[in-house]
Amino acid sequence: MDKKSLWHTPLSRRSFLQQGVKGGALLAITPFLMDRLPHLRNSSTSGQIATAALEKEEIEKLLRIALEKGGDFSEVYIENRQSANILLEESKVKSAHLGISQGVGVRVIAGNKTGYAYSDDFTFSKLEEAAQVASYIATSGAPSPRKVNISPAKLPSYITVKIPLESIAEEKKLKLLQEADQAARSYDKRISQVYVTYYDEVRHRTIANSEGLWVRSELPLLWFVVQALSSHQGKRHLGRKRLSEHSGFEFFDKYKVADTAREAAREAIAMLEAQEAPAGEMPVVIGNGWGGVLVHEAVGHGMEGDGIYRQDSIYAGKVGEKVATPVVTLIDDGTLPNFRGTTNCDDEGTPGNRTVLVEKGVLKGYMHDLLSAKLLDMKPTGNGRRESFRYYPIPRMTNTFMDNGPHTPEEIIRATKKGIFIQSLSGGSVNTTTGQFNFDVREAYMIEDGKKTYPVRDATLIGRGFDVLENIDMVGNDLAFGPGICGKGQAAEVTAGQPTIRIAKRVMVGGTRAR
Amino acid sequence: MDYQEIVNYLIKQIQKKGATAAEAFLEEGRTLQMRVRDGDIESMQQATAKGVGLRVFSQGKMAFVDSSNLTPQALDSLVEKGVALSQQTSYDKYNILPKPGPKIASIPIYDPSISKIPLEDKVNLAKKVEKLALEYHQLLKKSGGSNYFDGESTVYIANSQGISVNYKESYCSFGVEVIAEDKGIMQPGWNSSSSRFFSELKTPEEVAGIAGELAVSLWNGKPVKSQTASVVFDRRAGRTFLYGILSAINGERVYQKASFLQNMINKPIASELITIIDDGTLPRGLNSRPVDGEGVATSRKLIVDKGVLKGYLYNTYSAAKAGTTSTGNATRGGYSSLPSIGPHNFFMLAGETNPDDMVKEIKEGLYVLGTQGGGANPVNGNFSTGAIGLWISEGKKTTPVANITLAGNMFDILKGIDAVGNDLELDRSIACPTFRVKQLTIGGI
Repeated sequence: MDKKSLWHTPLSRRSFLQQGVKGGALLAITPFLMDRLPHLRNSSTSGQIATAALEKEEIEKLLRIALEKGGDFSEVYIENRQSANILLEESKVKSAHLGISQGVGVRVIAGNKTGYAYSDDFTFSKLEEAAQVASYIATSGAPSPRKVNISPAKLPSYITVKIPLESIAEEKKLKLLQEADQAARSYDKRISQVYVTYYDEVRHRTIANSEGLWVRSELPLLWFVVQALSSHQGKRHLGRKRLSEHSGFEFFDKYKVADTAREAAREAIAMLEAQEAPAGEMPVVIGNGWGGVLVHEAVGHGMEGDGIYRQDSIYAGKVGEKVATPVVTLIDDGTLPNFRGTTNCDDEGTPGNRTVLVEKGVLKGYMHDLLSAKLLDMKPTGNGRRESFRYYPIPRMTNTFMDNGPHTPEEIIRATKKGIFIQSLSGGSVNTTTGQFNFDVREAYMIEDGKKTYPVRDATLIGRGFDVLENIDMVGNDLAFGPGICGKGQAAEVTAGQPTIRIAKRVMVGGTRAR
Repeated sequence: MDYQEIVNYLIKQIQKKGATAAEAFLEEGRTLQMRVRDGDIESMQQATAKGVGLRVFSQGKMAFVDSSNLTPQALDSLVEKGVALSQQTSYDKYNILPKPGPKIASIPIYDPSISKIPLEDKVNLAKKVEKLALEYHQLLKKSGGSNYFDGESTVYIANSQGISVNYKESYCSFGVEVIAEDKGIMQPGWNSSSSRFFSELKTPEEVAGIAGELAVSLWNGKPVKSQTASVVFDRRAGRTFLYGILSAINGERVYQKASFLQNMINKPIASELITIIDDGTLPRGLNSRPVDGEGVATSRKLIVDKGVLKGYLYNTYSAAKAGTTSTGNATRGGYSSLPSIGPHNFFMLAGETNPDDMVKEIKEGLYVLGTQGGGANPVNGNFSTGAIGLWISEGKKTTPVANITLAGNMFDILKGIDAVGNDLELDRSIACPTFRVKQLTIGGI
């Protein structure tokens, strides 16, 4: 809930934004102007309003203007986003929201400096102004003599669409929400409230740069969240389940919203019986799927190229070194078909890539955008991402996961005499300088004598990323993924994944029950 | 047409197309953001932006449409879409809009000088705070970067009940992160200053000093044993409990019976030492505004009075449901967000104890300088967080502590507060003085 702005916490903090029900249902603390001014943003859209576009010559002119003060590299990013968001609450369609946002961002890189300006006004003189503002970052004053000549490039295709989102009538979407609502309510009489969120968007991007790159891409996105509140004898729990992919509407043939709703309800009911969580250090077993967010936060952020070239990540300069136990292999893969973190190209036009970060415990590489790759003399990995034209790209994860190991999940639990089993985590954050992370636990159970026993509520997990990697001693064979939103000053669509894993020590459980 | 005329025109157009009620929220502004690292500019971003969000009501059914494109064709199309979409949602009798209230006060929240201050001065401020932070102590060998931000915006709100208002606001801020490093162990420290007025920002010396001190004093923190002990929350760390209270006094949440503070009005929820205010009218307040996100006049409200809960926060919709009136707490994340519920300047009043005296009285305990993640579960009031700070032994702050958790129930914690500091500063929109909790569960090794 505590939405932190860059200004109130360490600048290196990364966090997972908790997905609440928007539109007044749950508290959305808007910590103020800081969240509003730069936030003349987050817009979205739908409809037949003409998509603004620029001609080849216009783009080339902007790229040239941007280099007039001597920059090394210029880029024009044109975005048009149309989105639809529907909320169902108290079995009513509380609101339907259509949004349209479009704009152009101009970026100039001079050495290790970045100049950026954007405009939501497509009047060409306004765009020229933006290019000039971005150009000021370069101080040499000598215009770059380079000719700019862009030509269309072809992109790989990791995202397939059978039924375009634009073709779907609102009624069809509403039906899905009602179906989910009914499924959650009929799961158990103790389900007292159900919140369902449907979100779709289509984001058109055109990216061109002074190196001659010119690509166009259309990215559809679906996001479906069910939250079910259980109430019984003064106890309550809000269960949650989320679905998301870059996909057409055929997504809802692959995933049944009723199953999603029942899963949220199952969690809400199971946790009614929860007892106080223990406090202190103990073995932690994390179930497969979205639990991979722990690795995403605790380790992944430290392997993003910006922290590496700034030398403020603990993983800087450690390629080839052992950073984890030999059972640990970590991969960031932006090419997994239709996954929420996948794109045909990142927001700088670099095609998606599979990047091995850690192989059998040894650090292999980092995740880069164009700037970090250049400054470190490494290859771009397709991780240059931005929330919208209102941000310049920075290195971000895509679909990040720990690979399968040898054990069955049952073996791992059986081998644990006393500990905690984490079925699901909600949000968390990390300070990449110290590696210190924290997570909120949604659903958890005690492990006693190798058996999963009673549920425990409201624990946090804290620890240090490098400690976790050095203490993962068992890895399961049941790799699964979950979708989420990653925040690093701007939001990004990601998935996190892992098989069931055990962290033998060094993770503290923060419950109310002192031992 | 100027922007006020545009919002008024949009309201008329929406009604002309068949809707029964409408609201327009238009925002335009500019921002400047820069980061400095190792004495040089790392990035600089400037932008102007605008957009409008329309709430369209058809016989109690509501739709919301927004656009950053304000050309006449785009707006006409937006109006049509909004009206069509409003037929598709469910009837809700609480879907109403506020009426114009009494005369709206003028609150100083706009500094016209910010945009006139030369860019170079702002760059130099960011450079200076970084330099001073690095010079603060020999352990501070690395910069985490410094930054400067400013912006201003004008908000225009109109609705079919007759509200038609606008206001202008500004904001500026700078901060730094500096890293203490020795023996391969890194510890960042950070601080920032925010203000409505450029001249009221703290000095770079003060901001750098706090950041540097934090990094040095927290360097090489270690967990302590799991135990229960007295815990002092520094004024920069205790805010986590205010967020916990905020999540539970949300009127919508209370209505849905999903708050641990439901049915607690006029009942004790905290120690008698605790008084909490929400004030949207505070002159120069970081989150002061003449009206809220629906155009309802803001006010100063007592939330907790000497430990007794006095009120919840409402926007127009949640107030109608609860059978009361809006408290002027509709907040919007921008033109593209529906009004939700949130605080203005939300703070705990200062007490009488000197924070040093709170520490002196503790034999063994913890002084918390920062919390990480977690917080209160708004549904059941269970609280858990990661924390960093200093161990207190025989009345003195001693070695740094890290990698521990703190947990308890919000009622127990708030009622267990036995000292409130005299050091409140309204340098954040959510603020508290230093305070002490008599007993709290610490999770460690």
